[in-house]
Amino acid sequence: MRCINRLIEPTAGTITWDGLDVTTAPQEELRRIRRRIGMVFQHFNLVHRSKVITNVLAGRLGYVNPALSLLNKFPQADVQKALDRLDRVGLAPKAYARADELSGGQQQRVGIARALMQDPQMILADEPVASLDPVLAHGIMQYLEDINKNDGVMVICSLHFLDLVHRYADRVIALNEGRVVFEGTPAQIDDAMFKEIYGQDAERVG
Amino acid sequence: MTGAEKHRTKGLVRFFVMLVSIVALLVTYAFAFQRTDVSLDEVKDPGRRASLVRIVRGLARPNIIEYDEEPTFHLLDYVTPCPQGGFAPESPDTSGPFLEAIPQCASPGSDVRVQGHNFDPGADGPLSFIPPSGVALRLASVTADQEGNFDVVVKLPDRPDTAVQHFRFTTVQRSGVWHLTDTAHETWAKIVETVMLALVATTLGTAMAVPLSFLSARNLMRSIRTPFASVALFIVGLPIGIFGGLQIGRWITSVASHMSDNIAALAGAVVALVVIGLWALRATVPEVEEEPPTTSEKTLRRLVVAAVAVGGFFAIGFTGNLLREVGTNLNDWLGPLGFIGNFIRIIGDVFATFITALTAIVAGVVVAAIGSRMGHIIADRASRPVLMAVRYIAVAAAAATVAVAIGGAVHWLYELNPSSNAMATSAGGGILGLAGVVLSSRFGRRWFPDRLGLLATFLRLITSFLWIGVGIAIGIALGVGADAAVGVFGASGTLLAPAVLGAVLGIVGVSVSRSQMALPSGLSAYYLSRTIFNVIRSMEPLVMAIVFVVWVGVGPFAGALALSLHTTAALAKLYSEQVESISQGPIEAVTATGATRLQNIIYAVVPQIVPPYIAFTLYRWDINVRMSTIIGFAGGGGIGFLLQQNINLLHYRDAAAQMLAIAIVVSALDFLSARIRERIV
Repeated sequence: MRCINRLIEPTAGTITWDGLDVTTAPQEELRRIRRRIGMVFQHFNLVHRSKVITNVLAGRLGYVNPALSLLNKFPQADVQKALDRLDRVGLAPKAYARADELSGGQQQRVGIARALMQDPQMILADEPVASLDPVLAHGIMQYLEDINKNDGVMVICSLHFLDLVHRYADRVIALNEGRVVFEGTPAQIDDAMFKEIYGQDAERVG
Repeated sequence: MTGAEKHRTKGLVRFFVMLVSIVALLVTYAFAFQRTDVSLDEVKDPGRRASLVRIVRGLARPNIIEYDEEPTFHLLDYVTPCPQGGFAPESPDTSGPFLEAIPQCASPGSDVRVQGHNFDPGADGPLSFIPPSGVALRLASVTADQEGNFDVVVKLPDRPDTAVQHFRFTTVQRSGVWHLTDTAHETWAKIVETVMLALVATTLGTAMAVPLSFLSARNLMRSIRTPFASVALFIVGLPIGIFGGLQIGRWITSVASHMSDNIAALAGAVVALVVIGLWALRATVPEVEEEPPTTSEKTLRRLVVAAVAVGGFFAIGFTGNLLREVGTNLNDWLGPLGFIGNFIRIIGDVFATFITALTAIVAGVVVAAIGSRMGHIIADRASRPVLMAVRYIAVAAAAATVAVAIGGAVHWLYELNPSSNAMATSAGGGILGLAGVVLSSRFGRRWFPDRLGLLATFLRLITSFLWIGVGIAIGIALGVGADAAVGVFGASGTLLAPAVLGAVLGIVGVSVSRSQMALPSGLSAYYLSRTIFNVIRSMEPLVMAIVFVVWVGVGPFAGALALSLHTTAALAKLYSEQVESISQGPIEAVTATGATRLQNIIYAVVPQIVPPYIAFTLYRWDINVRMSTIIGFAGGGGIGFLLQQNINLLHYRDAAAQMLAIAIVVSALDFLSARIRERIV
């Protein structure tokens, strides 16, 4: 997942996105590619001591004038946009609270708002619900689904639990030790397929 | 062996180990006692004890307050030698204190018994003899007993005269209220100086340590790798930029000096430069950038930014001169608050003085960064032959630059004569050889694979020696060449040899490296800065103060400089360790948004490190106050000088006042910093 926007350098192979070779892109171009790819993390990765809105505005860093952003100045339009995005994930009242005052689910929603600030064409969600309880997990997945269905943003989401996969995924790719072992629709994954993916001894939990 | 037996043997072994450890410990302590001259004989010596008591009593009575004292003189007429018919003084008023002498007159040099009556019990003071000249000759120090009497035998001084002379007993009474002693005033002035010294040192040190701490944070620097060509162009760009910056700096200074006494013109120029600069930036650099800029847009922007930067330096230079003038005037107007004007003047002076250095450094870094960027672009996009050519030329030039810099430094430091230059170059050759050893050990594995076993090790060793030999041979050849060059080119020839050596080294380096090889430039910067910090940190500020005293003279400024240098190194280390321990998640997240490295630091790193930075800064202030109390021992200003002086003069009561002041300030500061830390962190 992190190889797609080269947070980790791939050791072999190429990544092509939107006609661009991500693997060989020089720094400048890589930043332009990265700013169009939103990312949501398992551990939310917010800056705890910063305000929620600052965390969300950080999503604009690839777009704004670097010199001004170093002084913590963002265009008024971006600030308004950040408030709108926070409103969308239901956190507008918390905009000026510190990020570490928020609960886990709220923090992940801030993470989604941050990704939305990038006006992304793709969102990489790296186990976005693995540190949340099932109810919150569905809440977060529904936001991602909404972004996917209504904004037309591609969402690549890694998940552990098959019930979430069955409920939200349109297309499933299963990897085992770095190799694709399954590619298809969620409906195709039955118990037999499950054993093939996870190994003969695995048991389903969800 | 059974389990029990095994257990018993184990116990025996453990007992034996324990025994040996105890003996070793005893021997160690015996040796330590001998080396540290631990001796109770000195402690028991009565003379030593008396000195200790004197010091402790002195220290227990810090010389802080005193009373005004008023002397009262009690006189007794006396004649020496005895005149014809003897002498009898007027009968004294026995209702109050009076003196009596037995006999009433005597010849010079004889013993006389002087008695005093009706004094306050315990009244003490000097008993003197006053000849007609009026100069008191002190005879004894006397103290009245419980009844207010004293009785003392003194020897008459040899001052024969026919006139009436006097015995005088002087008692002293406290009058008025208590007031602070001169020592207290002096101590107060110096303790203020001490705290301010610590403040200045901490501020300067913090200001320098914060940016440096990022350089020496492993987690930030590890990922930075730079192509060979990029590093080379950086190194070549640095001196070019510094040279250009120096020219600009000199230009600014000369322009500013022409209008230095015209405050209005200076202020107008500064305002105009700032306004025009901001406007130009606003006009050409967009707030938000959706599309990649075209080449012409980029070029325009770069030109504008460069022009604005030069304008900015002019503004700084003018501001320096402006502040200097304003400060000088304020100094006259403000009267007792003149030090504020002086402060502004000094700040201006700092600006105006360092503007040339500042432009040189900034221009150097900027040109170097442009070079590095070009290197990146070439490494990414250029065709193979172009890249190859650039690498060879740039790396050779860069290595030559480095070698010239080293050679120049060696030449300047050790003032070598030309023939020693041959030595220096052969030493350089030796280094080249060592580089060869490193290379051969790196590539040796490839040349002589492991399956050759012992033979491979042997062959690798041989190649290493061969490399050293080759290096020294090249060095000697270059040294001989250098001597010849000095003959032909004069003094400039002394740098020719290092240049050639460097170029050769560079070409060797390029030819053995892969074309896509990227150097771990981040890690190099990390290790370099760490090493420098460690070296600086290992020198006590007290020692540094001695160096600075030689440079800027005895006084608090030398102490402040010494402390700030040490503070910079110590804080940079502490800070960078904090940077290393931050959570990586936010950095990853901000990188993923397409932020630059600098934006990443501001948005993901800085918020995480603010609390520990503040805590460390306060802690360092605390240390600096304590340090600055002794930095005066080495002439670095502050209270230490006073303290050392009083201890050396055996003025323990004065020294006690200073020690008390130090204790109060340090504990007050400890309390204060603890409170601030609680608040912020």
